[in-house]
Amino acid sequence: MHELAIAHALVEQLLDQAEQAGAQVVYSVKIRIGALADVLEDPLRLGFEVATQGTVAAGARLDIVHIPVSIECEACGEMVELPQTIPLACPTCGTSNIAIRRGRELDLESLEVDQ
Amino acid sequence: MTDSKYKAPRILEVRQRILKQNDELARQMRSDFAAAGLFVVNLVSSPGAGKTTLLEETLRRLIADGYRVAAIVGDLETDNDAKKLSRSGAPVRQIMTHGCCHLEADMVLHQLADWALDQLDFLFIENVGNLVCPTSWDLGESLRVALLSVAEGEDKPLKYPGLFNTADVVVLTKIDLAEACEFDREATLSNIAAVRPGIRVIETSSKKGDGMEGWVRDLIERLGR
Repeated sequence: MHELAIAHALVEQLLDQAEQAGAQVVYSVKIRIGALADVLEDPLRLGFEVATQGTVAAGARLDIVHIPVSIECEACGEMVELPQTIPLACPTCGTSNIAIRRGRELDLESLEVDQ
Repeated sequence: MTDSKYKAPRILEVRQRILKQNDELARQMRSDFAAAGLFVVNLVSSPGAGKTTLLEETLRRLIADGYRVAAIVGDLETDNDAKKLSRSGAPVRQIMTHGCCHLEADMVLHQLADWALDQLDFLFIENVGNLVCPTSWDLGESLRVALLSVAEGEDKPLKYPGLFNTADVVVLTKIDLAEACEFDREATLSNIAAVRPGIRVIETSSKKGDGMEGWVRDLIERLGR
């Protein structure tokens, strides 16, 4: 259940940002989670709800953008988005000589605030 | 009808890692470790894969070769592992996380406060036994090692891709039990390659000694002295 620790870090960070901007209300929060980040949506939402209670972000909507894995194939040299996470291999030429370019994200993208 | 108090919502772009605070601390620690000439190994695996037994034997062998080693071990409760590891003669500290399922950079840093890092060659961090949660927290390590015991089933890497994908080396443990566990080596290696192409896999038995020399030699080569 590391999602609770992640939710805690997320809320701490967004409250900092909201305070710096002088916001009184946070309406929504957008985050990006890569397919390789090993983060489950439900416990993260639960943690977010708990951690925002009594703050300017209480009741804020959590928008989660899921990022599939993209690899750069050393053989074809192309960026390819994988249809599924596993196997981590080039879907075109089958080689596993690849570099992961996307899919490890665990980012706070933006906040929607009152001011 | 306009409400004078109403203000149109605006978007604040942030674009930061959610674990930014941990990441930044870990980056600083990695740079401090490098400056002190210290090689730091983060051991991750499920509970019971053999982290403590591998580590005890590794500490013994490195001490016998004249290297200065220390260990930090994380568990939810008890200092049993620290006691066990201390038998090797290495200084060992226990982190009791009291329910937290992984170690974070500041927990490690806190333990290091009064250790002279430049008097050490290797520091081993035995993470909390868990195949999911430790993945996201960088501890400033030089090498992340995922352990997988032959008793666990060859599809573990497919079930927990994140942990194996962030590892630098996989150590297959309890290889002396391979036959009894009907261990399928080929399937295991192919599953590891599916989630972490090209990763080095070392087979060991901490109890019988198989593969231990190669594992320790690999560490010494990585230390580079």
